[in-house]
Amino acid sequence: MKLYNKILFLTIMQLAAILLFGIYQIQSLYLTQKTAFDQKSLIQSEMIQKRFEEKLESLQKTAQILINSQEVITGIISNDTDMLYNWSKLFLSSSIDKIHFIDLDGTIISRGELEFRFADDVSKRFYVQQALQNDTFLGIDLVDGEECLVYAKRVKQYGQKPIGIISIALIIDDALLASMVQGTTMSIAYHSEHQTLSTTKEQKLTNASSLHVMLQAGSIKEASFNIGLTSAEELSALKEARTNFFVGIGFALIILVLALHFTLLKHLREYKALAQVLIDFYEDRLDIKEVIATIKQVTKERTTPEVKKIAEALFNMSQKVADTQNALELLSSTDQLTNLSNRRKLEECLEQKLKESERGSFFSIVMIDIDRFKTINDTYGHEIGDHVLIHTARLMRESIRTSDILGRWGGEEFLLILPQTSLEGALVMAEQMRSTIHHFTFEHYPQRVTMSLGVSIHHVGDTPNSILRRADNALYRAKNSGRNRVEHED
Amino acid sequence: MKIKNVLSIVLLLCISLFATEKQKLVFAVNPYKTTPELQMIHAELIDYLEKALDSEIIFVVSKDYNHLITLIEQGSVDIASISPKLFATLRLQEPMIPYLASIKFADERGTARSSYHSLIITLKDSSIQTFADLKGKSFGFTDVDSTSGYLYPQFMMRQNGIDPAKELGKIYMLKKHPKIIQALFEKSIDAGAVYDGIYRALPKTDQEKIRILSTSEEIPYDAMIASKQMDKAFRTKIRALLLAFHSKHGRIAGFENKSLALYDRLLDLE
Repeated sequence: MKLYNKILFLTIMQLAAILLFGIYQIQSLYLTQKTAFDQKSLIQSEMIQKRFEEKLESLQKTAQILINSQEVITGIISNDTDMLYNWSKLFLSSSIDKIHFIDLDGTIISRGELEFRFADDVSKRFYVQQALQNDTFLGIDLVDGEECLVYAKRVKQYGQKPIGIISIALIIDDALLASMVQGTTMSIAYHSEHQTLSTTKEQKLTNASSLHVMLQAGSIKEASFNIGLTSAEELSALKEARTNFFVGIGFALIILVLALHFTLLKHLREYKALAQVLIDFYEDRLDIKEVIATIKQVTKERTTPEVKKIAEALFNMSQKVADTQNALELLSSTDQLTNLSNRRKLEECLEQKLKESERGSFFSIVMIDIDRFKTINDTYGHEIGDHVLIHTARLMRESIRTSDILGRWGGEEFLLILPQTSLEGALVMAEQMRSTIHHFTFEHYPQRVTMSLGVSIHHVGDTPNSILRRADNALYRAKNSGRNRVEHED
Repeated sequence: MKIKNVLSIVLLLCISLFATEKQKLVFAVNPYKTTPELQMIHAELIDYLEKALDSEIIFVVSKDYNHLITLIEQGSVDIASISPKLFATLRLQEPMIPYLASIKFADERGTARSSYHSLIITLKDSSIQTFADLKGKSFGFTDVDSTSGYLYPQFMMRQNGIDPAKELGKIYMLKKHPKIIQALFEKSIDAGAVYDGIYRALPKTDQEKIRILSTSEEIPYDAMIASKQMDKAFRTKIRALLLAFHSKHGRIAGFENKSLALYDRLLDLE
């Protein structure tokens, strides 16, 4: 696995672990909060239920207090509007909006909330009829045109003789609904055939449930109280936070991975470039010189100090390798005695020239042999023989062009490759060489040294052997023709 | 000798102390308004009497109407302002109860009156034109003890051939006279009974909405009486002071002598 992949994989793994942990944490928090929220909602629902029951109890208790007053009994019997009004207005509160005293004919004797309005007939009202027939009514009905929670009870003299009715009512309005949910995060809605009220502007309550109302069926159809959440703001906020966290951390993960990816790419590219150079070198796509050139290029580029140092180190190493390689190459392709190319090198060069000739270039070769060299060795010894070889080689090297290749073919035999040289040029070169050697005076060898030379020109379709054979043939003829001469074979 | 002298000085000091203490008179009234209101109504009169008599007057508001009678019978009060009906009832029990004068009350316009009338009223747009039309109609009285709000109207009805107990429709007790007017305007009652002062106090526009079906005879206002234990000369002095009392701004404008027959007649109303 590449370093890049490793780093990226490990980082993603870590970030994913953090993300998963974060998700787990926030999900746990969300679930905890939701449980608490549901618990709170339940408590609040119960509280609203209790408040509603208290409202009903308040109606009943007030009625009971008034019924138990002898003055009220007397007031009802004597139609004492004023006294009944004075009594009832004492009990009017935020929980009681209307107190009516009604006689057995269903005529109102007194209204606690309206001092001068009485004597009207309410005998047709459902709650009045229910109270007259069944003693009590607790439910929802229209009282003076307003939908109310009504408690109506028959009033009896001495606990036996019915003398009238008392009705205690609480108007079902926005204020009542607001008082029921005050201090809570809940909302309440009242719906009937006549009206729909709600403490919230929302069309629908969240998690709505009906209020358990122990009320008798009244004349108002489909009357119901529903409680629910105005909006699950707390939970929504938490959900939003959760979503934001997920999105945020996901986004952060992507950003981090991208940032890491680009950072790694940026930094590893330089290492990779260096590594690639080494790989290419190893896989023979680059030679050491190209490696040096590439690394040199890298060191020139704007890189990090670490990479620069590595590049410099590699550059120095490559230089050393190149030097060593050059030395080895030289060693492997140079004849140690004469410092000329050896036979292996000459064969390579010949192969190279033949390849080049396929693309239209041409060349000539000259096969050179020192005449009677064995005699020199035998007569003067190998040291002198070597001396002759060394100086002969030096003189020949000095007489050739830079592009020419001269090497020791073996023993006292040499081969000269002359690129882009015609037969005439080769003959001239060979003759100059022969003349130079012939006229040269050796320091430790008193005799003249002569050479026989065989020239051949490259032909299309030549192989190394074919061209060498022609040069050899020419050399052979030069030997046979008296030595110290140049011969050629086309 | 020395002890005698010292005792003489102490005795003289005690005598002088008692001599400087003012005479106290208890003045009781019916609880027809709240105590602070009653104190305000009677403040000028009390001040006048205190200065004129050089006495301290203790102002007492009885618990209820009958309590005032009890206080008078017990001799716990020296002078009292007593409602006409109550005075008539008291005269039945105590015919010799000393009468001082009748109160003249100033109405909202500042007119002083020593008597008033009971009115049976209905709305002008009502179908009730005569006493006969009251049959089956709802009626508003003030209180069973009210002369102008209950007794006289019932008396007038009976005199005009209507048995209020049987022939009227629903009867309501509204206690306060202004409430009769308000209930009438609200059409809670078809007709009602009030004293004429309430009617006179109404704005012209409201008066125009009302039809007076009947007006009663003269009904004297509250009587000022004195305790039987009070010295006759002192009673005479107080009566003279009361008759001489005139107030320009107070609710009690002054006093007048009225025929006791006007009070006694109130007993015939029931």
